[in-house]
Amino acid sequence: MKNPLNHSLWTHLPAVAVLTYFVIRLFTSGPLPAQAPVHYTWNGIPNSFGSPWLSLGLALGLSLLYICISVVLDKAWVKQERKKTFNWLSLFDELTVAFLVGINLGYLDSLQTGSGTFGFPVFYVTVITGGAVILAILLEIMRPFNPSSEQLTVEDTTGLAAELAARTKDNRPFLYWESQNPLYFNLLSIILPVVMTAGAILNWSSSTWSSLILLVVAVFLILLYGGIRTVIVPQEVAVRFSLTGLKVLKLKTSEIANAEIMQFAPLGDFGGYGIRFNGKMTAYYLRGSRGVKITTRQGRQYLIGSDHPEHLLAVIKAVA
Amino acid sequence: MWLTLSETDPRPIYLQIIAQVREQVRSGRLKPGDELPSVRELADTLGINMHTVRSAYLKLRDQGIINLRLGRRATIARAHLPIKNEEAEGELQLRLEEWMTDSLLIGLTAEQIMQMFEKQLKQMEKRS
Repeated sequence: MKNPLNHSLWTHLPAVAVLTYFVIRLFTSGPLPAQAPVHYTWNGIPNSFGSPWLSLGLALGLSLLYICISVVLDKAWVKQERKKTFNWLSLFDELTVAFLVGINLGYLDSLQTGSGTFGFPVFYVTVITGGAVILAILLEIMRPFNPSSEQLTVEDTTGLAAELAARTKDNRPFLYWESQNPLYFNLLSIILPVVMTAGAILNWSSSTWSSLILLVVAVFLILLYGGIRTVIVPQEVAVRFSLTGLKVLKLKTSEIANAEIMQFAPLGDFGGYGIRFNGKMTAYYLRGSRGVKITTRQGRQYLIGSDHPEHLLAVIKAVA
Repeated sequence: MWLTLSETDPRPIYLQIIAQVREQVRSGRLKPGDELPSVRELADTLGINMHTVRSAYLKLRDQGIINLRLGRRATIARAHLPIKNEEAEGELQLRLEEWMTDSLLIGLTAEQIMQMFEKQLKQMEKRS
């Protein structure tokens, strides 16, 4: 019989339950005032007024967004999983949704009692977040592991070595170049800065400092445009990053002791994409789950993600 | 993408670049949508002039092999093969005639020319 918990999405039930409880409370707590405080200072004194649905609606929308993000991350985790490992990303929606709901239940109480100030609802936040996270941990532990049926295909590179040897003989100028520049990364480095810059301009008169911070972050994000490039010449293996082509990895080929193809789980092994360090090795990748692991003579390990790891390995072996 | 520049190759550098990109597209090593290094990056890494790389890229664009867009890296074009038309066939015929004339002028026999053809075809098939 098929295990009813045989789906990664069950781990999101606590967040959904918390959100459902919040919606029920919202619609059974009686009519809300037309005008109420919607923003408070750090001391709990209201500094902005409007419809309470602004604040409550934002909490609902954000909660749904966090659940969606968590589901996407979870699906990616399960797809990449090669052995059962605790998916700490599955707790993301429980933490965020329960925290938001806790705060907004306190807000709802303050609206109903008619008190002008707002105190941080420690009880709600602790009980709801704690309960949801404990439940999510239990569900994550109970989640069975389904080994991926995806077969690893290794490209035959016989003949490539001979061709490379011919290409690199007599110290001829030689270059191997490949890039990882996925669409999501381009969107992140173009659309997000545009939105942030627009926000900074609109918000400039009311909060100059926060606008400046937004602009600085926007410039930083634009600089990420271009993705990761692996460049190999007879003397060195380099990884360039961002619009500036900054060399984030530069290895002399004489330093390379070993190179091998490695399959990895981006979320499980390194916690995401980009330039990552997991305590054992530094990894450079923006997509995929295959790459070439390089070990230097000093014992340092690097992982270069690649869309053609067999080619990359053959080239590294030819120049090292 | 890989590139090797040879000083012993009588062709100018930009033609060497064009030939190697075309060959990698033909063999399937470079696929539609694959990116190529920027003009500056390629010129810096190989120690050649930016204008040389730009000339090669412009020629490849004219041949429909790559796409060039302002502010973005060059990419391998979606529909580059097969391009079979009378104009292209005529150009090939001219190049072949020129090549065969050179071969005969240096004293190669018809048999040797055929052997060279077969050897080259086999090498290209191997790379595919």
